[in-house]
Amino acid sequence: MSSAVLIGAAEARYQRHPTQEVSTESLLVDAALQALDDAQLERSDIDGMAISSFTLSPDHAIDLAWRLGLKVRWLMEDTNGGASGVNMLQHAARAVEAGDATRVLILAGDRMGAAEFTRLANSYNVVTRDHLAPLPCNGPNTLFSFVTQRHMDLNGLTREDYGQIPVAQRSWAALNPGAAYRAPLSIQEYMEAPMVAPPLCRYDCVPLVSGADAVIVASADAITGGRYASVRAVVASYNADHQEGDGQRTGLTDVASALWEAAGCGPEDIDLASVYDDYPVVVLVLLNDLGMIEGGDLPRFLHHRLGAERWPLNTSGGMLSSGQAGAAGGLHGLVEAVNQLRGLAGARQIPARHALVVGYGMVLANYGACANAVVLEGSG
Amino acid sequence: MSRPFQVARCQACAHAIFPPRPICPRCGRRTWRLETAGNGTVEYATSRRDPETGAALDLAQVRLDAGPLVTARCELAVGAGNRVSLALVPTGDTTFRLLASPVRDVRG
Repeated sequence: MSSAVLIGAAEARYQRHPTQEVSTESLLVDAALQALDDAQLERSDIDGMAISSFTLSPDHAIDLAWRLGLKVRWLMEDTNGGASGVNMLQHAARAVEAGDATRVLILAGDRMGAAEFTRLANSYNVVTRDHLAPLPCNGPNTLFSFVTQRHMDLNGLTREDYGQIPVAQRSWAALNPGAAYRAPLSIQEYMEAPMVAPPLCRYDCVPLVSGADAVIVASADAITGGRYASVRAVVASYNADHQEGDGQRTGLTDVASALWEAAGCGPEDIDLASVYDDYPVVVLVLLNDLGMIEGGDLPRFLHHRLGAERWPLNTSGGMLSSGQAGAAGGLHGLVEAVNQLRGLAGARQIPARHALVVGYGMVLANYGACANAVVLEGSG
Repeated sequence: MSRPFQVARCQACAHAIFPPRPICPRCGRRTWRLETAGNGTVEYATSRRDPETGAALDLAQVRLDAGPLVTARCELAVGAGNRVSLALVPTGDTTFRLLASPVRDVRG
């Protein structure tokens, strides 16, 4: 078990249609100040900083530290998109364990309008620029239509099965004032929704928003009071199959047993999960890779656990309801889990001791190449 | 003018990859030869709207006979199981688009 703890979390409110004044910098500053306030810290208490943002360029981490007025002895810039939140947490946890820093501010955010998204989608990496953009591919919806169709065939699932995820998450979003979409969503509305890339419909794809998230990681020795969430275990697996598979499993299958062993608990002990939800199929793949779906019975999980029992998956509403604020999507689920474990989740608060947060991202050619996971425990 | 679509074939272990990379993920060598990968089978297809023009864009995930799985544009409606031939066609600017066209299967 790590000696790292999470003592603050914040989200600069996600916006569908940001005004001209809203910039990546203003969003990151909002999230940073709110997280400091939440942790009851001064700027001078922070001695480490990590940042992930698609739109920070031409600035880098040090420019942001300068803009925020942070004097740090540990600094990191992460480029791993939906896997950035857990990746930065993994590094920051080791930094505070080693004594390289005492309190690390982790940030992620983007002003992500249609123009920014198009630029990002067409120049995500060399393969995207040279091979996918000329098709044109316009982002990952096409690729995840293929991943979903294959998943349907292999598991005998229908659209109505995948629809359980956005429908269940929307019911949590109703309780989250920060979610972009809060109106109830019925399975009928899901089934009748406009198609984006069949079988993916509007509700299978994350809405673009602008926003930022922040958490503060500290050494357990540095806690002076207040509730916190301990890092019990964190694992990652990147480029596990060289993009030579079919997107139906991730590298988490290789590290799942190490995660549970280090955490000292098992899937049955998890009270709450934040799982990267760029598409419903990804949630199912990630949960299954970690042994979170009992007996691998996907229909039972979808209809019984999520539907009837309201198992707390993505209690913020997830990105499918809250929106995807660029790289902040990689931190969004961690912020929600920390808020829940610290008893700060408002109307959607559930009693939870152990939380699982799973990151996923970086489509190299066909599907995401990065996956990581952390088990957190609340201080009670 | 269209160009042939090529994959990289490892000269040490015969593994074929697309897109090309410097090191063979299977054997670790870096001795490659480019070879034309003209044919494949559609595994999945989907259709989107072009965000600029609103026109339908059909795309397919094709299993190349050479091995790799690639994403291609398909001008004509193709579906899972269809045999396709692949070529790189000019987009009008300096780039090329991978296009999958239906073919009669004359294999075997």
